[in-house]
Amino acid sequence: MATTGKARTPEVELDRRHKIGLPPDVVERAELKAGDRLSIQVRRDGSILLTKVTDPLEKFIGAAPGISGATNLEALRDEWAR
Amino acid sequence: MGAVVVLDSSVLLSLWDPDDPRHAVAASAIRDLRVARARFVVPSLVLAEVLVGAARQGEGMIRLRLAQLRAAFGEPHPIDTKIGMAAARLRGAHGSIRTPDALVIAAAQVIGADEVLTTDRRWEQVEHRVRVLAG
Repeated sequence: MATTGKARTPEVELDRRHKIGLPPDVVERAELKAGDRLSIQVRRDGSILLTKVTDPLEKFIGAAPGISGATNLEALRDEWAR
Repeated sequence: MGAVVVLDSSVLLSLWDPDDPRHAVAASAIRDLRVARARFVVPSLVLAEVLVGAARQGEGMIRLRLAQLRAAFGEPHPIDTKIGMAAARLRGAHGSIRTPDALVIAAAQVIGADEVLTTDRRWEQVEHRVRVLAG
């Protein structure tokens, strides 16, 4: 891997089997890990966009801090008995 | 295709809220079911309950939470006449059960679900397919 000095844009080389390796700092900044899936978009200007594919279930888990207390389910259900 | 699993509001709220005391147990159970290719069903009554907290924060928050819920579990299942009748039978047979509890359990009966996940221990006495998540 080589990096350009000024812009600090990482560069990678495509090997004979069309594979690339992402630089460690890119992996870290993008919060990627082995086994993650990436969607690939080739744009009209020739740029390629890699986007981490996120599981909607994983996005749901833990996404709403405090919602249990704010909802107070038991009180809601007890209202039906009034 | 894996098991069909009806989710109660109590489980969804525990799953959604990282500060909920049952969050870890709910997350573990749901992840295990996902790996086993379970199909999750969220009755529309459950939707109405779990969005109450979001509703208090405004329309934008309701839309956000609804989008998260749909993306994770699909379109909520409507409470129809058959489910209403099954809930009435449950209420008739078990005097102590509340109407919303009966509607969720009835949805599982009518759909033919393999399991109903809840954190409410009282449901165990009403329906054999109830699994209580304790944490």
